Amino acid sequence: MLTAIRRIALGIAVVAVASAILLLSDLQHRERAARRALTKKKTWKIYFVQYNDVIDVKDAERGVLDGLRESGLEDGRDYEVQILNAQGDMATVSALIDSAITGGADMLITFSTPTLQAALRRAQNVPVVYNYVASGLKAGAGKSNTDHAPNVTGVSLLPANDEALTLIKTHFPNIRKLGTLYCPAETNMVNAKIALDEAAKRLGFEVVYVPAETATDVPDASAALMSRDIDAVLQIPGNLTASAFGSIGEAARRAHLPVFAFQKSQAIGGAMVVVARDYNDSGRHAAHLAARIMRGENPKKIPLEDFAKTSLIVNLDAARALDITLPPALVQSAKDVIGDANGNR
Amino acid sequence: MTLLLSAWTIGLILALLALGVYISYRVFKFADITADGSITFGAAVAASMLTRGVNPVTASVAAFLAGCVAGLCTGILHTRFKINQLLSGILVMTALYSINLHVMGSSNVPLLSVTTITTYAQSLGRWLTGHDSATLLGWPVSARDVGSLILVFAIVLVITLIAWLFFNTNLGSAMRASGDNEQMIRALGVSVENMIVLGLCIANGLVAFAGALLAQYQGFADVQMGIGMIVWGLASVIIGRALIGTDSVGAALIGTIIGSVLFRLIIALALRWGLNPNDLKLVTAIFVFGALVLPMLMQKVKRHAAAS
Repeated sequence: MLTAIRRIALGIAVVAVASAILLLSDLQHRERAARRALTKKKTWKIYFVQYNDVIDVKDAERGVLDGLRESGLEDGRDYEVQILNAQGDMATVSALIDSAITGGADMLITFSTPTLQAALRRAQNVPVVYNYVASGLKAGAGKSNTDHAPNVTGVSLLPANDEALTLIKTHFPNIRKLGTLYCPAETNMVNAKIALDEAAKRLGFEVVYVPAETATDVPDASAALMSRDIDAVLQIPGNLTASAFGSIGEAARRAHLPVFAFQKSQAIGGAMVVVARDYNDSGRHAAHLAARIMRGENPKKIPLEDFAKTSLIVNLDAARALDITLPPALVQSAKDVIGDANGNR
Repeated sequence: MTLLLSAWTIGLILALLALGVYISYRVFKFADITADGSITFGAAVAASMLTRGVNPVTASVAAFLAGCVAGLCTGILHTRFKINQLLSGILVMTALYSINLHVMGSSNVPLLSVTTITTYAQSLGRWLTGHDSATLLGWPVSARDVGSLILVFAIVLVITLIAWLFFNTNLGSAMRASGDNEQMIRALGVSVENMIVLGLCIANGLVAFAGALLAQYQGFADVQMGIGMIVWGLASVIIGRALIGTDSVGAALIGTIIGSVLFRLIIALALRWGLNPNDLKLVTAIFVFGALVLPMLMQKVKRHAAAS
C-alpha cells in the first residue's frame, strides 16, 4: 500500500514537472509578447496549420507562400512563417492550434477542414484564413459568405463537375454514360461522388460508380468499370485514384475509352482531358486575403470566397491513341497541351 | 498556459479511452482494435444527437451505450463465433466506419453553434472567474478553458471511482480473475465468455464516451478521428504501468490516467519546442520505449547498488 502511494506520488511529481517545464517554455514568450507590443513595427507571425502531408497540400502551401510574396510584403520583415502539420492525427490538431497561439501567432492559415474547425473553436482572437477546404460554410465558418465568424475568412474549393460535364456535353455530344472509381474510405471522394451525382442528374448524364478500397483493388475495379457499358471515364479526384491512376488509364486504353479527370497529374498520366481545380492558385488567393488583413482590413468585412477557377489540360497523345481528334476550339482554350497531334514529340 | 490547459484537458478526456483500453488489454489481455472505431462511433452518435438539439448529457450517455453495443459485437464475434481477438476487433472497427458515416450523414459534423458540454464548461468557468477571461499565475486564460478542465477532471474522477468500486464488487473481481486465471474462474462456475463480452462492452462504452467528449471539446466530429487512437490508449496504459505499477486496481487506474496526461504533456512540449512535426511519432515511440525500459534499468541499478 505504502509503495503504491509512493509511486503514485512519483507519477504526480513527473506530471507536475512536465507541466512546469511547459509553463517555463512559455514564460519567455509571455515576456517577449509584452516587449513586442511596445515596438511599433510589426512582423506578423503566421502559422500554417495543416492536417496531413500530401502533394496537394504542398501545392497549396507553395501557392500561399508565392501569394504572400506577390502581395508586396517581405518575408522576414513583414511576416515570418511557421508550418505545423498534424500528420493525419486528429487528436493533435487542437494541440497544434494551441501551440500556435501560445507561440504568439498573429494569424493562422489553415489547410483542410479539421484544422479550420479546430481554429474556429480554439483561436477566436486571432485572424484565421483558410484554404484547401471544400466548403468553409459546411465546416462551420459562417451562415453565408458575408455573415461569418468575425476573425475568419478564406477560400473554398468548389468541385469542377459542372465545367467538366459542360465541356463533355459541348465537345463530345455522343458521351452520355460516364464511369468513375471511388474509395468509400476517403471522405473527400464520397463528397465528390455526391456532388457529381447531383451535377450529372442536372445536366443529363448517367454515372456508374465502382468502389475500390486499396491500391491492389484498382486494376480489378477498373476492369469492372470498363465492362459496365460506359462511354468514357470521368475520374473524380482522390488520393487512392491519384496514386493508382496508372491502372485506371491502362484499363481505359485497353477498352478504348477516353479518360476525363480533375487532377493535373493525371493528364501526364494519360487522361485525355483534365479540368483541374488549381490548389496552388487557390492558395495564392488565400494569401491575398491574408495580406489584406495584414494591411489593416478587418477579416469580418472580407467575404468568404468560393474558388471556381479551373485550368484545362489536354493530352494529344492520349487522344491520338484513341483515334479521337480533339476539337480545335478545345485545344486552343487549354492552358497546357501535352503531346502532339501528329505523333511528333 | 492555454497549451498546458488543453494538454491536461485532452489528456484527461483520452484517459477515459485509456481506461477502456486498460480493461480490454490489461484485464483480459485482449488487444481490442474496436477502440479505433468506437471512439468515432461515440463522437458520431453524440454529434448527430447534439445537432438535433438533444441535451449534451443525454447525448454523451447515448454515446456510451452505443460504444457498449460495439463492444458487445466484438465480444460475441470472439466468444460465440470463435473468431480470433484481433480479427473480431478489426471486423467491428471496419463495419463501424460505414456505420459512422451513416450516423453522421456526412464525413464531418461541426458542433460550433450547438449547445455542448463545453457550453456548460464555459458557464462554469464564467461563474468561477466572473469574466470571460481571467488571469492565472500571471497568464491570461479563457474562462472556457478553465471550465473545461475542471468539468473534465470531475467527470474522470467520478468514472474512475465508479470503475474502482465496480472492480471491487463480486462481479468485478470475477471479471479480473477471468483475465488472470481462466481455469480457476471456470472451476468456480463463472462463464469466462460472458465476462469477456461484458468487459468489452464496458471498455468500448468508455472509449465511445471519450469520443463524445473529445468531439464536443474540439467542436467537431470527423469520421477519421479514431485512426490510431488505440495506440494512444495502449501507450498511456504502458506508461502508467511503468510509473505506478499494478499493485492494486486503484493504483493501476490512477496510473493509466497519469500516463494519459503525461503523454499529452510530452506532445505539447515537443510542439512547443518547435519539433519538426514529421518527427512527432518517432519521439512518441522513443518516449514509450523509455517508459517500458526505465523501470527495468532502475531495478538493475538498485540491485547493483545493493550488491556493492
